[in-house]
Amino acid sequence: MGTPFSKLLELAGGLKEGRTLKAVIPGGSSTPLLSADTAMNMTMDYDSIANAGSMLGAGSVIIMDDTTCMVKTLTRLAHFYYDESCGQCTPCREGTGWLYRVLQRILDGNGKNEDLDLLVSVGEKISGNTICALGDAAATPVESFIRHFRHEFEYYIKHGRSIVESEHHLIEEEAIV
Amino acid sequence: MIKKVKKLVKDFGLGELRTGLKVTGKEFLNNNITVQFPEERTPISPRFRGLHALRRYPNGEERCIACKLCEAVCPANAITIDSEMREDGTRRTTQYDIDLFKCIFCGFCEEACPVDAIVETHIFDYAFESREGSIIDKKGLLAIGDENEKEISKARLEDSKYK
Amino acid sequence: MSEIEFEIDGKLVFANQGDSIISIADREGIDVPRFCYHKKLSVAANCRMCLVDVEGVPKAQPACSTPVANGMKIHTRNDKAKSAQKAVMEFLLINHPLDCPICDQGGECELQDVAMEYGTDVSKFNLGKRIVADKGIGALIQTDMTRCIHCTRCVRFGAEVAGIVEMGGTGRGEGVKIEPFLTEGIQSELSGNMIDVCPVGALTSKPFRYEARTWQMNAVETIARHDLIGSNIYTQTYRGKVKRVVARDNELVNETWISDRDRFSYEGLNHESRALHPKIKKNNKWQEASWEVALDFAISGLKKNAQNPNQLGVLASKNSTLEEYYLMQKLARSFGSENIDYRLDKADLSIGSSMLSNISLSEMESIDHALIVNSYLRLEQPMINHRIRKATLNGASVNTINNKKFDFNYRTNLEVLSSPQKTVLMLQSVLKSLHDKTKTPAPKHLSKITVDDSQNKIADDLITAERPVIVIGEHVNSNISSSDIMNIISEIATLANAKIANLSHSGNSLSAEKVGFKPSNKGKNATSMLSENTKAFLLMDVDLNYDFINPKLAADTFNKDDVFVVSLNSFEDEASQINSDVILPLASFYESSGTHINFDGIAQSFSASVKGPGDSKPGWKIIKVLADLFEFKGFEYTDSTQVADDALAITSIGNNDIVDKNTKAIDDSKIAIHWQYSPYAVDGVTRKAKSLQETPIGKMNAAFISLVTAKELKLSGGDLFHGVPVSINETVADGCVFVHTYQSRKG
Repeated sequence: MGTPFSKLLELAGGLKEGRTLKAVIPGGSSTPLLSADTAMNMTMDYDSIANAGSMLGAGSVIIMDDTTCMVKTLTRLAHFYYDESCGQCTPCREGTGWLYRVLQRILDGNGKNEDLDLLVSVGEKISGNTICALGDAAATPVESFIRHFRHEFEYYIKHGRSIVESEHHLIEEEAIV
Repeated sequence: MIKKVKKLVKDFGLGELRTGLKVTGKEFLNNNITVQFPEERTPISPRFRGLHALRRYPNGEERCIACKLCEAVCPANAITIDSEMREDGTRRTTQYDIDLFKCIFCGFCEEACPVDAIVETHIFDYAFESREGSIIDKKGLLAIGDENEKEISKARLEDSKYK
Repeated sequence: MSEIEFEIDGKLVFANQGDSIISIADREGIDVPRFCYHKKLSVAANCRMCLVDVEGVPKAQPACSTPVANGMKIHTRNDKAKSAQKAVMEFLLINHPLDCPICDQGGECELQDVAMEYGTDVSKFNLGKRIVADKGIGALIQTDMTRCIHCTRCVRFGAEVAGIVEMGGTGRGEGVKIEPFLTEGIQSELSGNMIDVCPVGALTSKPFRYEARTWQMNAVETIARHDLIGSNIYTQTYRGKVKRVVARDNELVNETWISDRDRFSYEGLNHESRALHPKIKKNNKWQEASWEVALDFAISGLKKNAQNPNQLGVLASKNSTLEEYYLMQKLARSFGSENIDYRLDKADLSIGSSMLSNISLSEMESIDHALIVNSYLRLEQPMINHRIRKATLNGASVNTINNKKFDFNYRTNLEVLSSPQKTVLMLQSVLKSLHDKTKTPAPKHLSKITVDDSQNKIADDLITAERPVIVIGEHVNSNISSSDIMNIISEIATLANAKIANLSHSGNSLSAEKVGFKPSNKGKNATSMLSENTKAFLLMDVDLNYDFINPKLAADTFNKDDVFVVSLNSFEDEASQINSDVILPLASFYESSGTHINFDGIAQSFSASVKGPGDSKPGWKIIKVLADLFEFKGFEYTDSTQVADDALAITSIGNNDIVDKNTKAIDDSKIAIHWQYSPYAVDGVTRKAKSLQETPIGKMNAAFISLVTAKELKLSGGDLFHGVPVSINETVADGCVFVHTYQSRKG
């Protein structure tokens, strides 16, 4: 508690050779995404992370470098919430499926420009209307990923493939530390 | 005095008759705009609302699913429907009557139908020999539909870009 | 119960501690959309449709699960509330199939109604919708589970009201499916109510499928007459036929529920065996006749055969209306005959009066102990059983003394088995134990009675309870010592300070009791009428195979050449044709105006929903015309309400007099047979209702015998006992055969 994030990253072994930090999820997938700059300037405690715009949450730090495709990552997270939803209340039961399927369609190369605003609005509609916090947790990554990395999504929709491949000519890996 | 003479000449010279005949002669050489009904017919809009028909799907299955929206929307209560489960478990009518004496040919039934089952064709020159003929039952409506399906689909296709 | 004062939509309202916002909104007429909330079921708050804005709380709160508090300010229609409600509506519609044209719920669908205000016109969902494969759940309820919005009302209904959890949610997330756990179909006798509670077209009525739209039908308020409750219902009619029956609210009588029997019996009205035209038998050949001819034929036949008025017998079942009973007994008594009876299935007719109940339906809910004697209450009187179930949920205990162990939908403490011939002894033991416990001197004839542990426990539970009730069921009717049993129970009730619920009655028999449809001392009762010198009979809605305790005796009597029988019947079958001389077609349930007196003594009148088919006429009219043709005075009625007024003005005839304190000796070596009809074979209309007969309850067909008794009778499993397959079972008392079937006991 109180350790600067940069120190934490160093203690964990640092990034792989030749890679740069892209984004960080500080407290488990339910917490908002933070850009690399914001993350490097914060310390691992409640107030600092809250000021940065996220939450300490479960304390499970997810670090993404520049080889991470944000579209694929978000789709995987959406699938997780779709799977975990208990099905009791309407917004989460129907909404998580909707979010996941729109993202999967983008991933399949059939995305449309309106999809991004649609995803954000669906997320907003789920937030606050559910029995438990899983609904809010499902909506949070959608909103924060699209807010920080909109251009990646737009690229994917336009070209049908990830911006990461085109920029780095690398086979993408899921860089979840 | 001169006026009287001039008038006499004009009257006996059949001047007005000649003016009229000039017009007649001109029109005589013009194109005839008479349409020889029933061999020729005036053009009809694809949206024309005439006699009703019940349509089928291309595979022969009747479209009507006894939802009774047409019966509910009809402003003249001209449609009478009774329905039941068919042996194969689908929802179908056992009775579908339209009373042409009540019908005002407004087209609401056609608009209400969710599956395009009840439509109005371009037939306006039907006739029946006794008052009972005014009620067309399901069999009759399906027969009209089968006979005129080509024209019905053509009209629907033409109008589809406005719907 | 403190007074809470709060504001809702700017209006100041009062409420009690613990009330939910939605219940107060409903009371005040403020519309809050909802799907999973039902005033009679527990709160689930899972549909999230009732989200409202409570000032000071950042998130919208569900109105159904938020209790009111002083000073609360609630907005149900401001931007915050509306955007939440619209969001939930949108989510419900994305996976809901576009079935409205083919869905029976169209026109009465809560989803449609709420979507009118809270839904958008164009959907932004352009992906594939999920579908759910259907599991059949029986002959009564049709499932289309793709339409299900997972409100869980059916699940909570099964758990809380029906007492059997039959529907549940399997799977998770979007794949949640509400389906039955087992494959045999829904078993509960109240299952039809799931059709009413389901807000969408996922659970609909199978017999009614695709028949008519709600807006086409005419809803007529009427009463269901099959049991002692007189559940309030609407019959929905279209073009002169009853298409469907749905429940009507009446807190005092049936709350908002009705049994399956009430709901689906209407199907029998359209059966092909309906009696449509008057018929007379001349020279042993049947011919159709007009009403005038048939009535004249009937009158002359009755006059000829009953030269002495004492030779006329008048019999009825338990299913006629108050007006029919009143006019029929008046006709018989005007004729000079006291041979009037409706107790065709009773073995012991020795006591003229019948024991009255002294507990009301609402009091049934607040008992703390019930002793059920000789009853499969769940199937006989499902709605009264439901009241006792509510009492058990509040801690009431239940003991039973029965010929067989039954499955109740609540926990019972002690289930004592006693064959019919040993029931008197069993009850005498309980009585003796009570005398011991209350330290009152036992009468002499009880001195040799022994008491065992279970009987002591029964007596003990009765004494220690503060509001006990003794419930007597229909099995007592076939017991030859039923009058003794009633006497003893009356004494037990006095000693234990318990109330009595006499449910040996059923249908509209309380109306028959009210107008004295029983022989006075000078008359013959149902059984003696058949075996002695009665030459003319007037039968009102009597089924020769099902209604008599001794059908063979009845058939033999009616079949005699010198006996003239006039039958008022709704249904014609072989038996009625063989045994009658005149058949007068009778309007059946829902086809005639009438009155039903229920367990609480409430007389509920109703008018006809449809006209009877063919030439059938309401019973009270037929009897009135017969009386006019006989030239009797006092039948100048033009309306059935006049008849009802006269009938209800009669002061009570029944009393609790104990006639003979010394019980008769019983030969308890003889094996007793109890023939219990399935609840879907209790009257003519229900027997002809196709869908009910296809349910597990409708199909019950077994003769239960214990191993010991089976050996005595030289029977083994699978043999036929009077046409019913034998089931060797240790849940039935020794020394008796408990037949549970839809078949008649004509064999």
